[in-house]
Amino acid sequence: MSRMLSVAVGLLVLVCGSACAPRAGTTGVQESGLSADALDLLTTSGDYPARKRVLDMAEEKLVERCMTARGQVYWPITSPPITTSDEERAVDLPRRRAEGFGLTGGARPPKAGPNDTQPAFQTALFGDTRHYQDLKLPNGNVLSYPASGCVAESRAALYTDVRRWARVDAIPQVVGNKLRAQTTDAPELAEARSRWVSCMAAAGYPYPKPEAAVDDLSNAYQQHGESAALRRREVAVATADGECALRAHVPSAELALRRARAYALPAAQQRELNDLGAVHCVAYEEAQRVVGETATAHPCLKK
Amino acid sequence: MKKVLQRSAAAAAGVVLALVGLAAPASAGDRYAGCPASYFCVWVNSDFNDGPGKWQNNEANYANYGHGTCPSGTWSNCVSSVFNNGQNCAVTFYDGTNYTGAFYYQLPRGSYLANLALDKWSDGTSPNDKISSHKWC
Repeated sequence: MSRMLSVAVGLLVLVCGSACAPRAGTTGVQESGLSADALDLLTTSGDYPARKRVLDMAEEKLVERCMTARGQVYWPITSPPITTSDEERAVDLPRRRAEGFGLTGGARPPKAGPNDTQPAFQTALFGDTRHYQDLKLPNGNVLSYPASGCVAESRAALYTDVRRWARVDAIPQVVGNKLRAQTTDAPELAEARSRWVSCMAAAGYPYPKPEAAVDDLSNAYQQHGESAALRRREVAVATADGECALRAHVPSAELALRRARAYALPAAQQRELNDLGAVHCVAYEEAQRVVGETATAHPCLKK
Repeated sequence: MKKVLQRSAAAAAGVVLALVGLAAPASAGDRYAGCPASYFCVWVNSDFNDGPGKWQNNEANYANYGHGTCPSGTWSNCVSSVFNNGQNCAVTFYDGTNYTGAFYYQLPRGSYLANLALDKWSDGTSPNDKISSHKWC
């Protein structure tokens, strides 16, 4: 089984490269019990990012409306359109060119409103903390989340009830981490990382592995403190790291492995993920109506 | 030198966090009342015991922030409960420094995991006592 997966993944990486991270319905293993929507949700790839953007925008719009009704001013966050491939998004070259690895500066979220430090604002947003709900996750952890307040009401409006939102948000993440742990030693990924090493050496950055590049910069900040020269070096190394990751197809190799291995998940887990994929799609369609983006083409496949 | 810098950073961070903690009102909820609105907070033990360490910003390396009861003397690999009291963003926490690692989890706003030690998967993906960095949105 493992050898078959390796061959399949190798072919996917070879054929697709960066322009074609394996998409739902193109892997040739659709006879498995995992739907395309579930696979995208599990691996946060394919149609998932664009759908999530619409859901995020809808949640923000509903929260703003709800907060206004409760006498609070809420400033919603806007999400830029998804215009790049899975691999380009994973690397995010524009961000690297602007801020390197993000090791300095410590960015923070924008203010949520003019009175966002007031207890009344917090209560309107998250409701009564005695009304939290618990969700037991597949790994044994328990996620607790607000069941009242504007955030919970907005999630419930999109997903029918807030518990369905919590399942869609949390369970694929936990299973996704399990898949990620299974791919770290795969030969396909080792080959891609080896190509990255060669590419970086040719660019003048002889690091033995991708993690070493960011660790080197982090250590330099620890030893010498922040300076303009070190900041320029961080941007240069982070940009070269990203460009070499794209040339070596490291993100595509890793994603192809996770997508391929998802089909080997236990049948019960695949059924649960299929259910969550369907719930996510129904919520996405509701979110399209909320934000008025019904023309965008990320239809649910409804396998 | 590195240790001196880390200690200085940890001490400065402690002062800043203490001041900010006084300035911002705590969220409701008895168990994590020490976590102000708009912060991501972490505790050494389950059920919000011994802490919190709290941040409004991204943090690439928890080794920069001291905490006396942690084995390393810093928050690095020393977290067993987490609460996102942010108001408009999820926070992603990582088992590696600099936003890296095989494990990461995006915790939605207003949500918490009270006991990371409950993770029973024996595949090395448990986040308990492994968190080393986090990033907002």
